[in-house]
Formats: sequence, structure tokens, C-alpha cells
Amino acid sequence: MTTTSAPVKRAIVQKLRASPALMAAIAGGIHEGIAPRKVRYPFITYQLVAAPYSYTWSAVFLMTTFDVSVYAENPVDANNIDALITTALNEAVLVMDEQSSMLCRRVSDLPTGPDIDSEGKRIYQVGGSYSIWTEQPGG
Amino acid sequence: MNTIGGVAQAILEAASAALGDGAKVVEARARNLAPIRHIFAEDRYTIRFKKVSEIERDRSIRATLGLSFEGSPENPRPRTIRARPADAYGRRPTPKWRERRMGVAQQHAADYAHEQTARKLGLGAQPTALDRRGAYEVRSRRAAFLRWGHSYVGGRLRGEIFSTGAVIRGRRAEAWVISPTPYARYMEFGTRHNAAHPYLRPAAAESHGAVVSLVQAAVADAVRTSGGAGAIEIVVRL
Repeated sequence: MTTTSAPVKRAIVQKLRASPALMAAIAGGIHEGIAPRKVRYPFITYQLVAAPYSYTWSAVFLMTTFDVSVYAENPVDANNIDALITTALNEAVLVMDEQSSMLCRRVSDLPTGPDIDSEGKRIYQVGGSYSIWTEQPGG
Repeated sequence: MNTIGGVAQAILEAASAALGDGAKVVEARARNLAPIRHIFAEDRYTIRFKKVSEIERDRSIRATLGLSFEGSPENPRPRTIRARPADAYGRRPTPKWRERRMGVAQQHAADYAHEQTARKLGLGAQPTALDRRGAYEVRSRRAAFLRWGHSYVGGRLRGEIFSTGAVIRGRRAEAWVISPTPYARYMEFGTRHNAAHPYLRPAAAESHGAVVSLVQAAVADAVRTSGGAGAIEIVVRL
């Protein structure tokens, strides 16, 4: 049976949560897509970008791309947390149900800049795209 | 007799032309994936006539307000906006581009304002071509955009995506799929206020196989027709 990108998503969050330095640095937690309005800074969001499947005779390859962004009130915090995320995820071996991790690599930075939030505070968004390839039996 | 350099150039040109076609494939996919905000009400608004009991109930209130009795010939009949016929699968065709032109949209916006006034006067809801958000976007000209000298309204993000032809730079050929809309970056990468709705990168990822196939076929054809033989490495990056 072919499983979807959901286990990959869970594995990313597990990997981020397994980093004590990272968890100590983010007061607002980890959120999928968008964080609620009242969440404290800094926080992390992650979002699935693309997950095309590639079938061979004996296996299914899932080549997912995730964006992981940090939102912080100053650029130093944002960049420091982004570096912690890179340390946690780059070349990491992810543990997933029914899938084996082949590659987890940061492939680009996100071209994002400062923004103003609903309370008029200047917010810095820094992040990167991660390419995660997994293999599962099937095809 | 062809030289190795001549064969390589012919292959590069063929690959470049195929890459231009591949960029169009990515462009088409990006247009499909681009999020759009529907500004036309389409079939969502339906006409509902008031029941006789409702008309009778409102009669005294209308009289107090100085409004005429509903159902009298003074009140116009609700206008109907004919829905496009559905095909065998129940899908309705998208409105044609000419119906999305600014002039027509402004007429629709005027109709919407008229309907709002009528509704405030208690004349009952009538269908309009634009929904509430659409009327605002037409009025503020947010939804208007130009493409190849023509003005359109609605679907700006999708409508402005375009691809360039392939350009040969040294030993590389490049083609670009560009989304020049000012808020395209926010849609692709998200902001503090809005979650991301990626459309360009998924289009590139999903079309990777198709583009590689196009380039491979073009290179194989060029090798055969130019009489070349040898090992040439073609790298396709998306």
C-alpha cells in the first residue's frame, strides 16, 4: 500500500522537536501553514510545497519539498533559529512508518523579507526549502 | 560532412527549442495550480420568490416606510442570469475572456450597486453576476490587469503567468516561467497573515518528467538527423 506525505510531515516535526536547543529558542511552537494570531514570537511554520510520486517496478519514490519558516521580532533571532533548523534537518535520517528515508537536504533559502503583523510590529521571516526523498515498497 | 562542433550545436539548438516547449508545459501547469479568487457569482445565487404569507406579513411595515405593495406591477420582475449549459460530466465552461473585460465588469459592478440599493429598499434579493468581493475588486480596480495590450478582470495571478522562449548561453539553454504579479511571492511563500499557496514550484516538480521527455526526444531526433555519433551529456534542471 502506498502511503502519502503525511508520515514525512510527522517525521519533520518529530525531528524538530527532538532538538532541545531549537525547542528552547521558539516560544511560539511549531505550526503547519499559518500560526494563530495570538501566538508569541518566535515560532516556526512548515508547509508542504510539492510531493510528486515516481513509480518503478518494485518501489514508489516520494519526492517531497517542504518550506520551513521562522517568524521572529528581530533578524538575529530569526537567522539563529533558522540555523538550528538547518542543523536539525539537513542530512537527517527521518523515521517514518512504511517509508524509508533516502535524502533530507536543504535546497534553497526562501526569498522572504520583513513584514508588519496585525499589531503593527515588524516581523522577520527567514526560512528554507527542504527536499525529502523517501522510498516505499510497491510500484 | 558534419563536424563534431556542428553536431553539438544542432543538438543544443534542438534541446533549446524543446526546452521552450517544456517551459510552456510548466506554465500551463502553474496556471492550473495558481490560486484564484472567484469574483463572479456564477451559479451560487439563485432566485427565491417571497411566499404570499411573507408578502402579507411585510405589507404593513412597507406601508409604514412608504414603500409600495410587493407584487404590484410597479416592482420589476427579478432578472435572471442564465447559467451556461453543463456538459455530460456536469462541468460548466469557464466564462470567456471577453466577458471578463473591464468595461463589462464595471457594468456588472453597477448592477451590483443597484441590487444593493434595491435590497435596502426591501425589494427582495436579485441575482448579480458579481459577488460582494468581486464588486469591491472591480470598483477598486484591484482585479484589473493588462496582458498583451488587453485589459482583463479577475484571475490576475493566473492570467499574468508567462514563459520565455529558451535562450542559449554558452553551453547552457535556459527558459523561464515567470509570475510577475506583485503579490505572487506572498502566495508562493506565505506571510505572517496568510498561509502559502505554492503554485510555481509544484508546477516545476510535477512537469519535470514531461520536460525531460521532450528534451530527450528532441536530442535523439537531432542526433539522428545531423548524423552525429558519440556521447553527449544533457543535464535538465528545473
